[in-house]
Amino acid sequence: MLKYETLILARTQITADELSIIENFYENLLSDVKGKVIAFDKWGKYRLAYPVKKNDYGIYILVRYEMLEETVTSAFKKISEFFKIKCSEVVMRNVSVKLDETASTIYKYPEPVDVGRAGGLDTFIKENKMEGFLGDAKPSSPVEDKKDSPKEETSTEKKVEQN
Amino acid sequence: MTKFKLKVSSRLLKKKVRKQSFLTPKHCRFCSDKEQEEGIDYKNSNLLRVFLTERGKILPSRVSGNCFFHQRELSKNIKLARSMALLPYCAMHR
Repeated sequence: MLKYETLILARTQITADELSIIENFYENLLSDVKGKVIAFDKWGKYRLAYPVKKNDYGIYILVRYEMLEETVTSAFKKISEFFKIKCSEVVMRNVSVKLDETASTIYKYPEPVDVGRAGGLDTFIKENKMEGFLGDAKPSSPVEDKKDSPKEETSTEKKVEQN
Repeated sequence: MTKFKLKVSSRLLKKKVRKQSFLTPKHCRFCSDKEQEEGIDYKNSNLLRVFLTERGKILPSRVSGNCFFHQRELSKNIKLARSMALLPYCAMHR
């Protein structure tokens, strides 16, 4: 059995149905060839190093599978046809690489963009125990009131001195 | 028999000694550490980014100190990562 993996770069507008179509395609194809899918990982949303087809962001999907040596050429023909004909709108790029037999299942990959920002501003403030960017500042009073307030302070100070 | 002495200027010798005193000998970081060697992969773009210049070019081995075998493997993986937009081909203005 030979091990392979394909990394797919898809558009961010990809739906759950289109993802399941890709997953089902690999399972159906490999069951015919007496192989099997080892892993189907969705990495998440990434900022691309350069715009691909006018897209600044993309979604990466990694598929790992194994199959018999005799059926490799025919299987890869079907895979390339699938990406070119059926998924041409969704999938921007794909690359398939042969793996070593001793290759480990754990691998490193960069962190996606949306980690830590999923909750938005409110969760960020809660996590860092902040009361808000401006603190508990009350809405600013009109200009006339501000003029009055320092006068009062000075008057209290004078009283203290007199006492 | 007369002995001929090779003339080497003392100025150049001093310059050579001064240069060598500052430089530490380079070594391939992947040959000594096996964990890092396994990290050479086109998906692991954070590690590969170390071996790029500011403009996105691949660092030569004379600068990074890699051995020939690992330098070749790095450059292969960097080129694969570039094609998948994990690494840049060149510096860009956003």
